[in-house]
Amino acid sequence: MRGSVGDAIIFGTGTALLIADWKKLIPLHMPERPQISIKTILFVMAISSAVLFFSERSGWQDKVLLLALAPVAVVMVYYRDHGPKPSSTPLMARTKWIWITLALIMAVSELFAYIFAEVYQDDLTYPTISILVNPVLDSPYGRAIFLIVWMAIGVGLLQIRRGRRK
Amino acid sequence: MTIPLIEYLVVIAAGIVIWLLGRFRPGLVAPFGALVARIMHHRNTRLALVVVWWWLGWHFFTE
Repeated sequence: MRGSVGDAIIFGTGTALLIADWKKLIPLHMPERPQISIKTILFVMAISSAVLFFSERSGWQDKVLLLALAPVAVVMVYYRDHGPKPSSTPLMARTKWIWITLALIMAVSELFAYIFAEVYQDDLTYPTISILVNPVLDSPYGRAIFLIVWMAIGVGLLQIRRGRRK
Repeated sequence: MTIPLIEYLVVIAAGIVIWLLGRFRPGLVAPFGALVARIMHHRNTRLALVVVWWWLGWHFFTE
């Protein structure tokens, strides 16, 4: 089972965190949104990019860095919500379901590819996304592109720029 | 071309089409950025998406 134990731990921890937050089991004072200086953000991004790009792929440096980034990322999004939630419009609901459907189709496709690859021991006929992407990431160009995209998604999700504009 | 690869490419192509529709026909499909901003109002969604984002990095850089 390719990396499935680690993935189960990661998503199990994430699910436990969500349930604990939902049931108010986390006895922490809900913080305000953290404000981090642009110099600190750029410094962290530069160090992270350098380690992830120049170190050996799957090396201990990558693991240490990503394990260090995990609590930082959680802290960046775990803050008190302010104001009323925007009500869902039909347009937004429709858009949300379209994207959810696409994500589910992709997930089910990969799940079946994984199952068939395990049953028939044939990664070439039934490749998962990891099987397709791994050779790309082994090249410096592929890794650089993935790194930029991953970092950009992170900056967007953590809403670093929006947080600073307020 | 294998069946899973065709499925992935179809989903990616559909995603690009929907993303473009969001940009150029915002009355038909909401822009992707607006959707993300909308769902990020909820703390649980923020946590879930960040876990997925972090896992992507972990999965592809360390495994």
